[in-house]
Amino acid sequence: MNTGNSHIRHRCESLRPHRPGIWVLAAMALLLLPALAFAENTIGAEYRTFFGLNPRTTVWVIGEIHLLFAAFVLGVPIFAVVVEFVGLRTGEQKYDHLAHECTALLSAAFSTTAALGGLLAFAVFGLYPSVMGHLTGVMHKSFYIYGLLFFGEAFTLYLYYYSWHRMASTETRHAGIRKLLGTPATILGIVIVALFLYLFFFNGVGSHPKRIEVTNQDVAMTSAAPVDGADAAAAEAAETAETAEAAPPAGDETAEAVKEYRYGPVHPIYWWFGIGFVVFVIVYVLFAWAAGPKTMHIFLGVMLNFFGLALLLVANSWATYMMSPSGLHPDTMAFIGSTWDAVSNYLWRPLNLHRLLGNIAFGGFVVGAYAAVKFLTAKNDAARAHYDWMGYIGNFIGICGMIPLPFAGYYLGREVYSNSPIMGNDMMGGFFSWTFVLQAVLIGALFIGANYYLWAGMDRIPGSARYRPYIKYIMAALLLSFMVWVTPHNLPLTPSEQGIMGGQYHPVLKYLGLMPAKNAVVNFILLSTFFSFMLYRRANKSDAKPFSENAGIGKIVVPVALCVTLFLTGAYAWSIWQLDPADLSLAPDRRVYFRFHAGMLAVHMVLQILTVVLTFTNKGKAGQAILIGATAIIATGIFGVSGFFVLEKANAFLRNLAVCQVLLVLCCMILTQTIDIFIFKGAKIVGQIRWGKVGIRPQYALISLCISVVMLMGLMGYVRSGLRQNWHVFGVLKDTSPQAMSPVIQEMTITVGFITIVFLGLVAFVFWLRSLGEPDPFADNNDPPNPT
Amino acid sequence: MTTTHSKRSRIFVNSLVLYVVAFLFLKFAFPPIAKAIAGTSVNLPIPGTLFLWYMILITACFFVYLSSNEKDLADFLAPVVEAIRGKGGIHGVIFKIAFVCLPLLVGYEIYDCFVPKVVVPSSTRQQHPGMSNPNAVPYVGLKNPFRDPTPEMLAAFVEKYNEEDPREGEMDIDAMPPRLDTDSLDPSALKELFVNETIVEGRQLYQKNCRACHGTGHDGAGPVAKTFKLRPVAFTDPGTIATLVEEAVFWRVSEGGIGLPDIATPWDSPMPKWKDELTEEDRWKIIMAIYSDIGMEPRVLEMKVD
Repeated sequence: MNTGNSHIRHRCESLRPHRPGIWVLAAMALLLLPALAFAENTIGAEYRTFFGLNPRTTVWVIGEIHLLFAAFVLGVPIFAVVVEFVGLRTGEQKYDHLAHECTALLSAAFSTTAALGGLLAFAVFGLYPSVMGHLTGVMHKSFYIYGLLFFGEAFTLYLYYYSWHRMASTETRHAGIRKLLGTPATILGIVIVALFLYLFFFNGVGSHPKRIEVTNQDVAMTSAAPVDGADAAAAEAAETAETAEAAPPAGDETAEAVKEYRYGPVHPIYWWFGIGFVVFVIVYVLFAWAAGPKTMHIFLGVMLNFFGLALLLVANSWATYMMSPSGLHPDTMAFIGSTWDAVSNYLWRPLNLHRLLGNIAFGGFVVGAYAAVKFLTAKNDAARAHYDWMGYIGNFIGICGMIPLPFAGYYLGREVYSNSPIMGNDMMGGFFSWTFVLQAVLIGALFIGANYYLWAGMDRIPGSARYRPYIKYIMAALLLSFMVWVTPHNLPLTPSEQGIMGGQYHPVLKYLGLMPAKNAVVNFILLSTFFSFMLYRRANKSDAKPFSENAGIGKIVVPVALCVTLFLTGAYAWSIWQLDPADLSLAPDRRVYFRFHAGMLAVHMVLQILTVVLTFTNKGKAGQAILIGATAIIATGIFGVSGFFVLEKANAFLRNLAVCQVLLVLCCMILTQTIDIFIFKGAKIVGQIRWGKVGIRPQYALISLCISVVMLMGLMGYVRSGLRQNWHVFGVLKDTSPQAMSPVIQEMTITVGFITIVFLGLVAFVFWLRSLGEPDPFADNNDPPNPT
Repeated sequence: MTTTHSKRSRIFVNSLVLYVVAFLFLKFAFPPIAKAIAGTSVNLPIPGTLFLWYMILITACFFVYLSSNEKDLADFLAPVVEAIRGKGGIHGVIFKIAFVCLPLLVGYEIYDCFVPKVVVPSSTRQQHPGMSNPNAVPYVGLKNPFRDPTPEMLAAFVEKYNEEDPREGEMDIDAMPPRLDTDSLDPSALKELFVNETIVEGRQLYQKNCRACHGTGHDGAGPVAKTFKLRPVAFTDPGTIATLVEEAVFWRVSEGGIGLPDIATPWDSPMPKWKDELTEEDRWKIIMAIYSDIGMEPRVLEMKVD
């Protein structure tokens, strides 16, 4: 043994440098580099370097790591509050403990996020002073709002975390007020949340700045008596023209511009929303006070999410303004709008939606990975049981975020194209098209990983062996779908392949590279994943009970769910039935495409009704099978094929077709899941889930999911930002720096890989720091949060 | 014990057979199926790069499935483990041969990949070069004037129509009026006539200038198409010009493929700069005729940005 060690030691010594002085000198030389950079006089420079390093890569790395932390900090509170609420409703402590543990991670990550945000701000102001001069001129008011919101976020986060045990009591303070405000508060909450989502996450009413052409006389009248609102835009424009260093026009031209155009005021619906939100807060404070400390605590969590989302919205506006600037003079491109006109730019809302869902999925997968690491290092069964369950919840949240994410991505992509065909071409058909092949691989890893976790997790469920035979079919469905998804429209070819195919495109496989094929298979992937989840839920239950005898409140809930799905499907079917082709700049005879798809939605509505009828006649499982099968056939098969006709003949309708597909899938999920809950209500349990009694492979799957989602966010961040190519602000402010080029994919993969490693290392460190502050709850094998 | 052993072997054998069947299908069955679908004269194999991706995906999915259940994985590995331990009879011998052959096969593949060879390099290609090219900037936002003609254009068209009888040589001579009277003619009918005439002119221009490469049927199979390493685009492919706004097509026609900056690479298209050969009007007319002949519409913006 000793001999061996000495041998190894000898080998190691032989590898050591024989001249340590060389290394010391080299290290000193490295230390001198920043000194040289300090010595450089860069006052007044348009661009600077980061101690001699590439400023673009510097900002890229810092920005992406900040964004990843921010995604965690904004995504986790959403499900922490939901889990806490579930705990309150069910009275099960395990939910409360889980929510608390997630919040503890949050508080640890929060300060790191803030520090990175500060570093990013210093970096962009220091390295790109000219660009930031322009952005400050346009956006400076939003900077102050952002700062104030940050206070709100910090205060509510620490209140939420530190008051957890102090506000644990569920005792009602005032039953009368609680009863009085219960229903109104619930309705108001639903309305406010729905309005919030509609106004800030979808391009709808009053969502875009309205530019008005004005005569010189109008301007003269308004300039004589300056007032708030629209006319503030003119003053803003003048101010901006002075402050923006890189705004193209100068002096007289800008003055001329102000005379010709102005922007309309904020749409009144936003003021009404503001008033409604204040009323909502007042009502909820009263209600939460009356309902007891725990409800008040949940309200604090809701406010934490409000501040978090508001921060997300403000930060997104800066990124999207650079992609799709608004509030501009149409000829000179000078900024003449108000801050709101710049914030409410064309890509703001689609990005808000995409990032919101992305953050939820991201938060879920990071929590899942945390739980997996804790599981692997757990020293007793109680800890393993808890972290196994926590990992399951993390994966579940991740899947919930992932399911609508492809559609949000598609929505964002279509809007990118609508905003600028140049960007659209570059994104899907040009320089960035290969990144979407990489994206397909990563998304494939995410969905297959999430499904794998569910399948492998069935080992801990008695009775799950019955469903094992189905897994291979789900696997086959996922495999075929990903084979389609990963197929690009054209490929690297050898000359002989090119000769055989007669060109760059494979005569058959080329169709798989187009959007209709991608949209079709993504629906199939979602249905397959949903089916996995259904099997997982059923795994330890015996046969379904007769719905007519056992459903109880289900006899109301299932028809209500049917009404919701019928309304969603019917409303959309009616809207596309009524759609005028001229609205999409299409010829009148293209109406047939609208009518066909509306008709198919109507067919699906009939099947939804049939499913519920079968459920009431105690054939719920048959009804579910019919609905899932029909959804797969219509959304994937029929709409997949019809998509190619739409692509050729009525391209603008392709967006509506994608909505049809997702609508059918979501309605199928809603209805099937609701029925599933009630037909298995009270079903005999084959055996309790043995949390903690699972192999280590699912835990590694959770860790790989986290790595995949970090890489995916890094990749898509590169695409989103890189789409501007040689523009800082697209079409307004050109990038004249030496780095004004799109980094090649190889450089992207290296940088994103580096970002992934640094982020995961930092997260591990921050979570370890957090663990220093609290004793291990499982140290004595006590079991406060026993999930079993 | 025998039954258990047989069942365990079955999982291994079934998986192996299925894997080999998948490989054989993609390699040998798909090409004739694709040939039948596309109606070509030769089999259409899956390009090598894509074939590799498919096989990686299939391999990964096999292991994902098998390892997602402890029992299935144990059963799958059992024959291998037994063979390593020197058990398994004839199966054991087969496995031992496989243990020797597999590394040799992998080694040969690696050698084959890296050994220097004299081959024509593979080419990669993007669907569209980016419009962020400096030479594309002037084309951004252009509209085809012939799709929405101004009153002046229509008046000029009527005047020309009445001066030269455009029905000469037309097959459907009865469908066209001998003379246009703007007072009695419905504006929409006039516009339709104008558009149709533009398409006819564009079609003639296409035949003169574009057919040699892009083909009469717009399928990229013109008489000289095979002389190019990078074949001319088949407009009939729904993934080409149907996904582009008209200004992008106009830019490609005008600037061609020669001299595109590096950002557009790999893009070694010999397409000429047609702005040196054709007038702006003629280029728009050709584009309009192509879309009309292939029965597709140019992409339109779904929202009119202010």
